[in-house]
Amino acid sequence: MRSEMWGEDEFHGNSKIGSITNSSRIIRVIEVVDSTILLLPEQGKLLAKKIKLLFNRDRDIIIDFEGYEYFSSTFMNHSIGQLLIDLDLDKKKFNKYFRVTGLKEDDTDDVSLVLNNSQMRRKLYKKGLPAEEYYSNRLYP
Amino acid sequence: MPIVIDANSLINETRRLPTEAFFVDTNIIIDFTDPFGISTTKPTVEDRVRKITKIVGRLKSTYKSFSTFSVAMEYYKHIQFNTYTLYNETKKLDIENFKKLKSNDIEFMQICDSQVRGFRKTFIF
Repeated sequence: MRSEMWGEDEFHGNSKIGSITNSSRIIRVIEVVDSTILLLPEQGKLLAKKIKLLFNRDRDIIIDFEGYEYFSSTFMNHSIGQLLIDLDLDKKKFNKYFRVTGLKEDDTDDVSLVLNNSQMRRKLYKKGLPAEEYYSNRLYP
Repeated sequence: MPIVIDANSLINETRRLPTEAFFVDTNIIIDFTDPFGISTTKPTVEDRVRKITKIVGRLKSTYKSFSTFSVAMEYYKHIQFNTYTLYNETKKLDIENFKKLKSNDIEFMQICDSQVRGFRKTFIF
């Protein structure tokens, strides 16, 4: 296995995840962000930037969270969520090009929430409609 | 008499809360979870979310955090309202249409379902 900067490795099969191919690339999130606490928007942006640099429609990318202690939804929104919009991918295409691994069982729902939200924002963005116009932080007691 | 403490002094660890736990209000939870990712679209919201995330993240790692039933209900209504308005590109909630979508529209059902799971996780049900 070849280690590179940013926690990128070539992946050589023998995985329990069936759809990962020999040409998959791994991005190790805690190495990219240099922390096991994944909290802030800028950490998320850094991860998204790295993934975008490696993105190539011919090879899938494994986003590996192994070793993290905690992530915030803000981190997920600014990394994976923003990725869908920047790369113009819907959920189906995201699942085609990316595999998310190493998450605790309780946290897998957060990824699906982020993907759903991102898909809604992407739809608005493509129509030229700013998402914040349809969002209200008013409370309804 | 409530005690007022500058949140930055907690982050910088120059002060500690004179308690073992704290209560979190609805707006703080909304900014902390950013359940629709709005902080990605607006820099002013991003700044606020960053600050709240830092403060609440730090507090949660040191103290116990609690909320109330009314806060949970406010949050629930917040996610219901905004799921509907963002999905339908509208600014008003139409309850009848909401119910219709919730029983007929698979994509809307999935979005509502993932929001409810996020809600449960936030309030630890």
